[in-house]
Amino acid sequence: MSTTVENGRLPAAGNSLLRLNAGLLLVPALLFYAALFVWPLVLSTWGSFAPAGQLSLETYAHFFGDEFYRSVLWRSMRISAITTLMTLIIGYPIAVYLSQNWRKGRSLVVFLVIAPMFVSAVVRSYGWIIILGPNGILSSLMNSIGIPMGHLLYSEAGVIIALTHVFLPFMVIALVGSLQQIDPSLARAAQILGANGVSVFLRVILPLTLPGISAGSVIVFCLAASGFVTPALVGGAAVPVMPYLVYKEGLLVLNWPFASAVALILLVATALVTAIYTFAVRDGASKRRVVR
Amino acid sequence: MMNRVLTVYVAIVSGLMIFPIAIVIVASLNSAAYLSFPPSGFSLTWYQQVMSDPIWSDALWLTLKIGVAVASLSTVLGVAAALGLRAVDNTLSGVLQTFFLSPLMLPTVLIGLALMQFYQSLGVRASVLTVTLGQLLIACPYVIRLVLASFNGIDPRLERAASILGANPVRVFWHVTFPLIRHAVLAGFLFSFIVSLDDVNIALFLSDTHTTPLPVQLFSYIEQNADSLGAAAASLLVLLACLAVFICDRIVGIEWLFGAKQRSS
Repeated sequence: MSTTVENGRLPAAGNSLLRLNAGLLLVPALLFYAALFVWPLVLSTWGSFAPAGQLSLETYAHFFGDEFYRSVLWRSMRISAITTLMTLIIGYPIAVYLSQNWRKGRSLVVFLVIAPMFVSAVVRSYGWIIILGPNGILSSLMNSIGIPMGHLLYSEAGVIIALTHVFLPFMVIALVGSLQQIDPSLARAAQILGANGVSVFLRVILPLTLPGISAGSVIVFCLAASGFVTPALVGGAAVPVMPYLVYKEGLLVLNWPFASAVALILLVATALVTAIYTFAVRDGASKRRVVR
Repeated sequence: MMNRVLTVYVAIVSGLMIFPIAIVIVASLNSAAYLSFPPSGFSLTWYQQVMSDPIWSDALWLTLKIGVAVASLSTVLGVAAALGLRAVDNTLSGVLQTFFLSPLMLPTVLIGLALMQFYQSLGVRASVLTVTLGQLLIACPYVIRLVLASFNGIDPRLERAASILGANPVRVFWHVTFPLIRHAVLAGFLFSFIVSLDDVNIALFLSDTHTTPLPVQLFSYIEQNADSLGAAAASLLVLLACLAVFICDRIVGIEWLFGAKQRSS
């Protein structure tokens, strides 16, 4: 029986008519994707390479030739990288807690940490505006305990704080998934063999969660780099990021070829960073294995 | 000792996670137009204003309509696609899965921008339909993923038994497969609704002044003025999201997000 239960797919024997019919169920989705996903993207990409009807790299030259646009790209990458690191550092202990099923307050923590993911980023950014604003809670609090502090609204730090809040659940979910797969007897074995808590974590748990760290980082980095609402509301025009540029050029300036170029540059830059990162993590992990 | 430190840390972070949302709700119940601490008094007047102002109430109504439309369409399309993926061979299925999930890997502003240019080139005006079809692209992948994951829990012998006993493919689906995946289907429906409810990036490009969903309306409003009226509208969105999450949790358990096994029926 072991051959047929693989992946829960239909057994291959017989019934080829059933399989053919079921395959046809892909057609509506394929048509939909072709018409309203692939084709518009092709058109948009073509538009960015042929702003005046014939092939040219004008829009891209315009982007990379301008110091301001380059700084926006760099800022987007920087903000996303810091946000990813913050969610990883803050989220890891939370994930450890959530992966321990015996914790009493576990379901409450699941609710408090994960459920905010489902609340619109507009709402959460609004919360941060109230907290970080000029007369906001944070600066009032700091001033009242004697630490004078300006406000963080319309600053890069403010955007990073808000983005970390918005994307922390995604990192936690990725890490919990990976932590739950670890056989608890491994940690116990290491302990019995004399490892203390720190080295059990560093040499057993952490290496085993590298896939989760890698997956979570890629998700958060991509989401943070393409997030528009939070940087636009918390950072505004003072902290322009790539999606903000797409919005401005696409909807306000109406320079569509340039807006498309900006969006594509964002896509390629994000893909490059995540590819290098994933490769580095995998490479590091395999080197460790060789050393052992 | 380590345990207690971890518990305290988790409590603090949990509090910080909920705080920005709680503060919006507090602001919406404040009687003054702008939030100050301590709040000047309790009042529901901002909710009353939101509901009586057609700009807001129309936006809310539109959001609900679009949300239900996106959820229904993405469920039908996604379940069909997942069933199809299960029937084709492994390699093709893998390639197609990546293709179907790819809208989630692209910046949503790119999808919104591309669709806007596409509709403009065809002369199609912004409408409920353009927004719905746009959001469908980022909702459908979740349905496909959820339903595909639920197939793993099915013993294929059950379906085989049904078809050997003479049930046609439609009956096999309806009486055997569907009952086994119904939790995932429902979760996909609710998740799609939430995706639609949260979306600004795509709707921003595909809506005009007559078809502005609540999140887009709220976004434009907050960009200008962060007052208690905006907080009340924001709280309505929180309420809707809570409702969807609550139902989702009742039915499948929020744990499915971790990719763990689903609660058995």
